[in-house]
Amino acid sequence: MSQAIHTPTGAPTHTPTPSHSHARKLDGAKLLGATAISAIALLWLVPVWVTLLAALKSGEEFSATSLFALPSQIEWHNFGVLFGAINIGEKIVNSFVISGGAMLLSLLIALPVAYAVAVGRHRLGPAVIAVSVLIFLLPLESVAYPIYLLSKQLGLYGERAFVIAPLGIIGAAFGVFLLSNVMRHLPRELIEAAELDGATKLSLLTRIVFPLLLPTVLVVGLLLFVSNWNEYLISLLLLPETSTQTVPLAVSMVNYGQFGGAPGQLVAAASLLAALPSLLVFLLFQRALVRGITAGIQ
Amino acid sequence: MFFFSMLAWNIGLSLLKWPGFGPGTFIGLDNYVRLARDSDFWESWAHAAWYIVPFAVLPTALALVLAAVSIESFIGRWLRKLAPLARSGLFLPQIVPISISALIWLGLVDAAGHVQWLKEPTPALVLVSVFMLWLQTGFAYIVLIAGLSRLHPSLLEAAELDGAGRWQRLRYVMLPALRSELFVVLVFLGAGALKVFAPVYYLTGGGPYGSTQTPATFAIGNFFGGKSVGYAAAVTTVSALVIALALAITFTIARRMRARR
Repeated sequence: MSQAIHTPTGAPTHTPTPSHSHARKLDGAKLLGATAISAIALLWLVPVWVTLLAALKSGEEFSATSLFALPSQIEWHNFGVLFGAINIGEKIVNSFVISGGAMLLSLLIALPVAYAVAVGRHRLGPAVIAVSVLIFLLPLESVAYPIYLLSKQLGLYGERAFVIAPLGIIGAAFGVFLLSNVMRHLPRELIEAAELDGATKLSLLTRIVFPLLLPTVLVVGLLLFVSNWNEYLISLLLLPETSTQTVPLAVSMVNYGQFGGAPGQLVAAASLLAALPSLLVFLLFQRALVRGITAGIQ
Repeated sequence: MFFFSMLAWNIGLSLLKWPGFGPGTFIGLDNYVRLARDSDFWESWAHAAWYIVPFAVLPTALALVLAAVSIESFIGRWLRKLAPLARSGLFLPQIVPISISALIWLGLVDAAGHVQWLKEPTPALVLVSVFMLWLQTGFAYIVLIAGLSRLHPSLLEAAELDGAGRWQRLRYVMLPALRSELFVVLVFLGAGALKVFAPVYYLTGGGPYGSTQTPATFAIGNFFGGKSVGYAAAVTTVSALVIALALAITFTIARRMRARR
């Protein structure tokens, strides 16, 4: 647990050390290393690249050409089918409502709890952290069935709102862990000064801690959003109706369910749509996300 | 609170003989006795133990090598521009929903004309393992890279000038610096391996003939296969206990070791 918040991630920043002059002449070992790593990264991307190509091909072209062949002309038809016959737009809305709702719930719980633990040094702090770690490391399956039963007994089975609750609570555990880790590194003098000025606990949280932590909170929010978006088990159990299902569920339906053995290019297009929001979040906020994950860990 | 009341409910269910509808009968620990005699259950744990290798150990080892090479290679005006590419490429599998990436892999296997891989036990297990490696390397990579970038570059160069080879720099300079990162990554991924569900469920469903089955897929099959909810609840209760126990042991050992230093 060392100083965590502002550690640079990715490539080391330039410092006027010998490394700089050393790097001027492109030396062989570095070039070789960089090329090898980049090649491996590209290898890792092959499945996604192939999916992108497949999604833009027509049915005939998909079955006639190799996976790696570029489409002769870009075919938007696959997406048309998805929005038409499968009504994927509706699923996208569901996913946004569920992922966003659960994310907000998590943050609403996690912020005050992390604050009490890290800044308030609540005496139950260590226990709260231990429990949070336990919650996100224990298997979800061990609570999934009771959650399913509860939804039936409350008559909320199949309701999107009911999916938000368990996801939000489990996400809150992750949020408490990460946020308290970051809050612990806030300068104490700042908080003590505000306390001397007569700030209440609530105003400390809303006026000082929250604005300072806004970037971190946003990152935690994005991480939670992405993991909720990708969630499958709880939503698989709780959402039997196609009209309330989330995108990943709907896409596996495209392959197995009513459209059993759907043509590959259609599955590819659906996969792309399902992964798109997470991909966008990642590409736009890459540095911040990576920093968020690593800040919670160090 | 919510989580633990659900956990308690699950334990309660595990004491019942109940097919998922109608009234259940209380049968005490009978489900656990049955479990202890169920070879499928033991086999699922053997697989879970194996999955620690492709889900935790191999990704961490590969990521360590990749991170060590990256930190010494992505230096200089041009080469450092490649660092984000490496990072996003490796991390991408963490971002795509697993249900989707499994679908993509199935498509690749199909297109390559190797569908029979999924129908034979050993190739199916290998495929699931490779998929796990693909999934988890990125997570370990970004954590380790972040740890390494705390090292001052001059430290590595000094070691190089002193005649330390690549391996020695990794062993004596980087590894000691990465102690806490490696611990966290291995704990996260190790616990993940013991409860792994999605990569197996979406790629093979636990088959063929249970050859890739994990405790989690085994339990879900029992919960909703219309067989026995009580029995499945017993499976997941055991999983939760095993993981909690493993975590407790790991953290105790870690604390002892830290105290000794």
